[in-house]
Amino acid sequence: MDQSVKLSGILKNGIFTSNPTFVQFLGMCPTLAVTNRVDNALGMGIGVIFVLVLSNLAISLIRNSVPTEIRIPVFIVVIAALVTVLEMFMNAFTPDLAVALGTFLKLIVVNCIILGRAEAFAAKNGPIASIVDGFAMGVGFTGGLTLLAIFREVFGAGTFMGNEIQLITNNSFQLRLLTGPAGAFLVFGLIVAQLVKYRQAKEDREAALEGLA
Amino acid sequence: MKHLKTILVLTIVVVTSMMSVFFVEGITSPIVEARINEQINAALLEFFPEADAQPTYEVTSLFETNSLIRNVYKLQENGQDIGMFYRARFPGWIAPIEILIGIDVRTNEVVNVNVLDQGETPGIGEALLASPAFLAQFSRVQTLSLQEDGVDMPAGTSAPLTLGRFNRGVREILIYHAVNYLGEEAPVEETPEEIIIRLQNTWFEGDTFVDVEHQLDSIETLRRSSSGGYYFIVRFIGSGGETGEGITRFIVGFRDDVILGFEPLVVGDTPEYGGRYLFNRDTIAQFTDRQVEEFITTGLDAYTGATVTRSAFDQTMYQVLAYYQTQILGLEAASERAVDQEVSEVLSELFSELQFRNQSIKQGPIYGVYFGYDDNNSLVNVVYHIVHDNGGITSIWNNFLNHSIVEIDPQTNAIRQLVVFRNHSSYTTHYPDNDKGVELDGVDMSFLIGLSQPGRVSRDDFDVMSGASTEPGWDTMPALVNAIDAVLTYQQLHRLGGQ
Repeated sequence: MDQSVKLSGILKNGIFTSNPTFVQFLGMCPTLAVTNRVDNALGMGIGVIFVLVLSNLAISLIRNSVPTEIRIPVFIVVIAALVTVLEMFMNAFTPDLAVALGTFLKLIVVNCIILGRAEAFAAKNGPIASIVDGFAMGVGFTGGLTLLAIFREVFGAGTFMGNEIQLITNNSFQLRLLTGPAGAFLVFGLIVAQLVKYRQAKEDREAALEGLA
Repeated sequence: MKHLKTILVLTIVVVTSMMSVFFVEGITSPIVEARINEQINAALLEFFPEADAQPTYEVTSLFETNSLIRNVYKLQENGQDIGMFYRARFPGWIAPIEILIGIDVRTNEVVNVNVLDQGETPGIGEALLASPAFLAQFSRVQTLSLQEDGVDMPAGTSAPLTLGRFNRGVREILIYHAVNYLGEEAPVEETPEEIIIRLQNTWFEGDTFVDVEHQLDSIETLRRSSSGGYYFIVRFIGSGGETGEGITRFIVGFRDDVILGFEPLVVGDTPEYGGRYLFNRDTIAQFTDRQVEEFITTGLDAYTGATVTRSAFDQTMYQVLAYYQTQILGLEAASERAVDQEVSEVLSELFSELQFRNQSIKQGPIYGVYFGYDDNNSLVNVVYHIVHDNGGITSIWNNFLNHSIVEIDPQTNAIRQLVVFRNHSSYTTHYPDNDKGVELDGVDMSFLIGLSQPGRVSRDDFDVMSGASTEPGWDTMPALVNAIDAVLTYQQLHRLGGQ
């Protein structure tokens, strides 16, 4: 029972409480770069989940055998190997996505989320918890990317996963600005502002309830 | 013991990682290879539509492959070679680029290029390589032309570094084809010293040389030959590009008032982009056996998108030509003489019944004033010659400024007409999709007639009609408005020819 509570806490933490995109602001480079289309965002997100889960698992398994002073190089080697494997799979099975993600696929190696979770979580926890943490953080990251991409693609390009939305394009609802880097910052800022507002309201409500009690 | 554990752990991790990568590569590489083969087959049919009835052979084993060339294919018709195809891989700016290039050996033309794999920056290099306009530049082009000159970035793309790598890769493939299929000699790069000696022998055969003192910083060496010719070795700084140096050196030779030729010696700019502007055969050929004065007046036709390099080169070359003309030949600057002559011709054409007397007034955009008299020696008009910026790139050459005449009624001090007689405000050569400035010739300027007070013409008057921009850097119309105001102000103050 305790174990499942703990795992659900890790899940909630990764997806919502410590969402890597909107709360920790990690992996901003790909977040802003690949969210011009929903399928790109999903592809990048799934790739990050793959690497996060496996790197967390691998690092968790070898954590007690790795001397402290070489832990970072070891983590990097593991992560780089996994990213290379991911890239090979994408080149083989989803070549269009691999081309669309381009350099950012390779740059998963230096994505702060992955090294961060390896150092902060997997190096200190068991395999099951590490897998769940990697999955939760990956899902949180993917959710963040996808949310951003939906706004940018639908209202910027007037498409969804490349398919034209005539309601948008026929009525000139498009804001082309959103498809560019400036648009990415704008949408990102608006989403973060809403989340901060929501969190603030929630904290105020809780404080008020505590006061009543 | 502790170190031993460290080494052991690192070794195990690295070996395990490598094995994982190799294992996955073993699974995925046949899939990738199969897909690329499908692309190659489709491309072969696309390159030579008749190929579906013709056998295509892979002849890689007959050729010496290297890190560039991966596969070689041959297409035959009735036992005769009609096409050669090279699958090649060369460094891009971010990641290797793999292409299939088809050559029609009957016409020695590149038929087409197909990008099989690339990992350039999304939206930049990737967009360039995906651009149909970019790839269209490889359709039915002479191999030598591509080898020497490469291709340019089409409008709407901006990836000079990827372009440079791509041009370099294609050039190497075409050299491979020339050497291994056609049996030609591999081109040998000359050193700067070898180029200078070759040109000395070509331009001034059998002469000896003495150094000549000079006052221009950009000139490294100025030498006079025993038969009276000169050559300059000149340096300038362009964009720098990949080398980080950016210093380019070139040689240009003269005899009397003729340019014997020009060649670059060291290119400090991106070799296949900014540098290519200098190495472009068309550009080099434009200097050969040209009159100095005519060249200064006309300038160069060839153009690439390498604006920084071009700007620096144009300015330096213009300085050198003007220096040669004024300091060596002892002549008045050609540009001034040429424009004075042109003004005379324009006045004769417009006012054939009048005789003009010139007053040398140079103030701001006013370049000269002409008084027109009829047969009774009565003053009929005052004509201002104005010079105004054309905006944009071509204003680098001083003689590419726009020139107009403004006819003033000496009784009313009002404008009778404006005629733009030298208009360089055409960007269509450089930006085919941008027609800003081209309408200067066709602008209806009738609203200027009768205008005598400055400050009454707005940029919008012209902009609305011409579509030319008033944005900074695109100064065609603002410059013209300022010049007209300068004329009206001057006329109001000095009342030339009138009361």
